[in-house]
Amino acid sequence: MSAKEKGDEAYNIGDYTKAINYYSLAINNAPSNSILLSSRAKSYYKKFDNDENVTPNQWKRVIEDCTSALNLDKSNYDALYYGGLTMFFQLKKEDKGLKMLENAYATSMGNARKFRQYSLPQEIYQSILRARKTIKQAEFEQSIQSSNPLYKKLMVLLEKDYQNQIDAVYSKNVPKEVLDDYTIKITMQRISDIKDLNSVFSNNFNSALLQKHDPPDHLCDPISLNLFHDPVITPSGQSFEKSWLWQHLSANEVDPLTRQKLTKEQCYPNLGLKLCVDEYIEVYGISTDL
Amino acid sequence: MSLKRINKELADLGRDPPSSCSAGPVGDDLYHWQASIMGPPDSPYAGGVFFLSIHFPTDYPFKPPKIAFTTKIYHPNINGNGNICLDILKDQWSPALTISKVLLSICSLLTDANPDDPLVPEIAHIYKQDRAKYEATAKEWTKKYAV
Repeated sequence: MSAKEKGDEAYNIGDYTKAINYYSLAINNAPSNSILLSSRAKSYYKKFDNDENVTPNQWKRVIEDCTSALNLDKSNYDALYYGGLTMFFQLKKEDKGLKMLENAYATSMGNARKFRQYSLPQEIYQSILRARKTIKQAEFEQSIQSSNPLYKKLMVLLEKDYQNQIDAVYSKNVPKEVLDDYTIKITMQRISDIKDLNSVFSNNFNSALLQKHDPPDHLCDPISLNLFHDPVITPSGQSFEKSWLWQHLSANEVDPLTRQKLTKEQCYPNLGLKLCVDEYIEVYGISTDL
Repeated sequence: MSLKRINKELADLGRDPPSSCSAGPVGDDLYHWQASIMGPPDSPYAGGVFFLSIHFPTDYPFKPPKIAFTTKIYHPNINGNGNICLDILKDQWSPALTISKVLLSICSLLTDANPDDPLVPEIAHIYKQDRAKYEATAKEWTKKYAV
């Protein structure tokens, strides 16, 4: 068995450290193999993803491998996907990350068609929706903070208060466990205070937006029951999410709603519907499960 | 991806439950549900509550769920093991169907049996030849097993 095969095997059973070692070995022998580099990036990603103590510098290893992989083959969708996820969610480079995710979606879709395997584009589309929700959330919090000078003042006072409390305990001579306990308590308090503060100040905004909102059915794919990302329309006038409809058609070439014969070639992108979904996310993005 | 869709169906059922049936997971396993259907008022099953088991395949919704009655019922399209002869659970399955829609179809199967495509030929025969006898037996079974 080659080092790559051993790496794949370790990856499949979830032993990511072992997978990284085997892939590194394989990369030494074939430094210009794009797949090996993206496989290692993927393993790093999976390994770090379950660990809260990973530093941004460690995350950069994923980016390094993805960049090298993409330099060798710019259509390597694994490198685009895991690079995009890391950029967006870990290194907070939202624009670049989202662009990579979109790109990963498009290339993996092209490839999925060849192999009739649609789970990756389905997963990527889910991640893109999640990313867009995150952007919306950040914008929303930003707008609360910047619209009210009182908010900033209160935050400064609160921070001072936490610091004083912690300083007070540290100045006494208490065992480390007590200190740790106390720090955790104050941190929890801080998180819940900020949440309360946000909700008080957000009343200035449309408070209805903060209530949980379910997307209307006409903006959801009838197969995955999820918001559309890349809708296509069939001759019957029904729209479906592309990766889900393609998977269905690869086994059974009929329209899922009308049961008329249907091939991929008969379907067209539904750009109008996509705009409606964009608009929906713009307004309700933060109060919807994506 | 099937788990996500099953979760979504569960949430939709909770928010907007169909009037005559209910469904939900049995334990922690989201792939195994139990459902109940109330006998339609205009049928010999009126007054009864029928339980069904639902098993989702891992490639749901591209493959149909496996649904069977766990309550005994006298019906030309439902056999002694609870298996249901319904086209949308077999070759007419479509990924755009949901559990809620399937349960409604089963409800209408209870009102309007399909004796031309029977699973139990004896019951279908009685249904066609002696409708009163069929209704009496169905009522009796409902009283005995489903009330």
